[in-house]
Amino acid sequence: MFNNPITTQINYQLRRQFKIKSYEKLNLIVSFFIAPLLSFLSTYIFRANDDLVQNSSYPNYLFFMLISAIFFGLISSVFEIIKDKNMVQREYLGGVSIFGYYLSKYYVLSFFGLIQTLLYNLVGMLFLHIPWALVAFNSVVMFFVIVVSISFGLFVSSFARNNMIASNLIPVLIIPQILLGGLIPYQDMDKSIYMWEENFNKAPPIAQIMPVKYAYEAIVTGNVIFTTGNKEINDQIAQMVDYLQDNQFMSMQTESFLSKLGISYFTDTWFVNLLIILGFILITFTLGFALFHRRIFHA
Amino acid sequence: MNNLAYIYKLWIEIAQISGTLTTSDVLLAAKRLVEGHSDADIKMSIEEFDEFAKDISLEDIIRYLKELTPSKKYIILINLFMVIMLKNIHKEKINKKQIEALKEVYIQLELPYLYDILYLLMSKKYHKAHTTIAKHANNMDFICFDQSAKSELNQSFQAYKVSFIIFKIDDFFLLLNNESESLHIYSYKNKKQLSLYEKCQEFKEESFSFANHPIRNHSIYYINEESFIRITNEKEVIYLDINVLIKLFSKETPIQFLVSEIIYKTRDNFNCSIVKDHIYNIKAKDLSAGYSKNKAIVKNVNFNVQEGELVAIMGPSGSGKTTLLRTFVNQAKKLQGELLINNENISQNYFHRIGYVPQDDVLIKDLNVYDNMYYYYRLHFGKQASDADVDKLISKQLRNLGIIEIKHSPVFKNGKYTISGGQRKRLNIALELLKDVDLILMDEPTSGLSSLDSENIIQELKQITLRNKIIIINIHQPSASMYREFDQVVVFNEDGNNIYTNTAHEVLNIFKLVKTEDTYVFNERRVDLEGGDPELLLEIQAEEKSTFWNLFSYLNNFTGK
Repeated sequence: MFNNPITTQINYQLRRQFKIKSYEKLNLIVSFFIAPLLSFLSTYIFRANDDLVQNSSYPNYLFFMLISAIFFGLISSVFEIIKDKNMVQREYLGGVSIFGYYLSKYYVLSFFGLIQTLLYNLVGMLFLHIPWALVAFNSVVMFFVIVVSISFGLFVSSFARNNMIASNLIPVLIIPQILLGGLIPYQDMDKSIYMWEENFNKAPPIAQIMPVKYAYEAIVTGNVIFTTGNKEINDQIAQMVDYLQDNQFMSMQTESFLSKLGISYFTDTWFVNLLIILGFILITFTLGFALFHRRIFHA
Repeated sequence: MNNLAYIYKLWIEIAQISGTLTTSDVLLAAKRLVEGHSDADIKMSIEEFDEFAKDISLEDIIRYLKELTPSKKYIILINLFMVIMLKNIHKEKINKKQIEALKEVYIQLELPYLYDILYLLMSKKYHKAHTTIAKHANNMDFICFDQSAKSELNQSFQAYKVSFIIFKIDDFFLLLNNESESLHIYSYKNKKQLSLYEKCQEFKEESFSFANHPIRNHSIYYINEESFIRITNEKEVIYLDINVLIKLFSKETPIQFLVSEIIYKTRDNFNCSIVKDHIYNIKAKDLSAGYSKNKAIVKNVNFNVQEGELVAIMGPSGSGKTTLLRTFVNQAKKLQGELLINNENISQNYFHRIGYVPQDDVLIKDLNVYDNMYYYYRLHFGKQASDADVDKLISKQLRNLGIIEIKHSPVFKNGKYTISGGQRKRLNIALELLKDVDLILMDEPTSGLSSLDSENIIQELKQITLRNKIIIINIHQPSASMYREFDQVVVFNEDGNNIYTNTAHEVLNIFKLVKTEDTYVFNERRVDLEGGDPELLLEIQAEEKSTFWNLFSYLNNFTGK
């Protein structure tokens, strides 16, 4: 082989990926324009009251933000490997690491996802008057969801043979997140989604594998925690708590289990859920890379 | 003139015993073996040589050789040995009578150990060879090593008290003078007159240091290929210029008859390395390959390709041409038979020496030409060269392929390609040349190109093979001028059977015979075909004649041109 260290390869892969993005100016402008545009649209729709404390649609805004994050991540990543596959195969024959390629792709897409996250939340902050601490927290959760979504996208891109298949898989990944992400009360859904009767008092199993469900739980409970002490917002929190309990975001069993561990539902759930999302990132990255490797090696 | 006569006679004596050397081989070798001959001697015909050497006996030759200075004697004997042995090895049959005759000459010259050493080196029994060399080191003037002895070289450089060590690295023929601690580098086939540094940039693998051996200075010479004796074996081609050897080994001051480009550079500037796993031979033996275990797409494939050859895989659409290429890079499965590289089963160890260019463009559309090449280079070789050097290398490759003008052009813009199909094909070739691979596999390199572009591409590919590379291409209907560039053709029928493999020239003869519908002659010829399946040929003749005709009818046209 050519004895080119992996760190050097990653370095040049990163440079190449950034260079490619820099050539895709129009694409870049559009993707950076869409984030604040969607944010503006959602703030416009979900601004039930100018005062955030009185804005009963604020949880809806948060949910829409997470769905937007899934969308951003998928759209940016789902065609990437299909586009480069032949080149990667060719380079792989010459001893270029495909891990370096995959990691750099991940990194660059995440970087642009971060910019989209910040733009999205900046608009939200301006129009919904969200305190900066919450904006920071919301941005972290949104960014995590984008990264999970990029993992999904790269997984699909490794799997799909062409752009058409990949395009068709996008709604398959987004719609279930919307349906089962937690905004629509589970108890209003067909009971069969619970599978077993003992599941009735918690989120249905199918929802348990939706990253948005955990992200939504994290972002809502996090919004509660990070506004503690602010009397006015705390009034709004009461409504959120009711909302969460109504929607059985976390089962009673889980809640009691957490309390046994000394973790309070409303003080630490956001953190637990973020960890779960990190787990999602790790698993999807690993699975995505394994599939990608197989695709390149056994093409 | 007499010297030449003796050597000529010696060669004839040995050659007659084996029958594997032609008289012209002998004449050519003899002329080049002896110093002092004039242009008039070289122009002398074989008959005239026979006449003038007819009275010389083997005893006379032995006596003559004994009187020579040791250095000249060694040169003559080593060259005699190498030419004869390597010719035999190349044909994969050692002629025992010839070896014995050769050995007899060495014994009579009281140099049996020299014969033993050479024989062991040729047989690649390096350990034994080195033992023998060490035993007779005091009697040695020089030793010839080939590239495969390189690992041994490192260990044993200091062990032998030899005056000179000769070895070959890629296009370089290196001569290390132990006494003066200098290294002379001779480069042939190097028409571009590259500087040593540039040339060394093309060697990427396994740093080959001369650090164990003190070198005070080194120099590089560019030599006209015609002045060399070409010695081949399965491993490589070695060019020995006898004039150079005689002058250097007789310890006279070397005459600067060659262009000296770099003289007295410091060692830091010389960072030459050996290409690891250099591919010099590819063989397929009854190979079947496909994408699933139960279904072979290509069957009974046989060929034997040496470095320097351009091979065309021909056949109708769907006959498995692409599958065969993909088998080399593990994208299709080998189901039966063997696919050998350097006589070893193909493995990932060789992947970095193989460049595969699929039919579709494999370029990053969002980057321009330069960036495509720059990052391709950097990903393979990292920070080995400065940006300025990489830029030079890229420019060189683009210039060689005639596309320097698109160096900074985008590949794709506003939904369409901004460079032509021919330029994209060349760019794909340039990417592989950046890697300096030995084997380039190209799927339909001329598809979608104009006839002029196609011909230019094929000619350029042929030129590339001359740099010790192998290129295998899939091609549909080459024009006559394109066809003439091929060294071998591998022909498939529509069922994926390899119905014929031979030299391009021979194919024309065969199909000319087929066209006459002279079954007898055709059947006679098939016995001599290398790699072709005789039963299959008969079957084709009987059952698939019409298909066969459709496929190759155009080939017959060439024979008349």
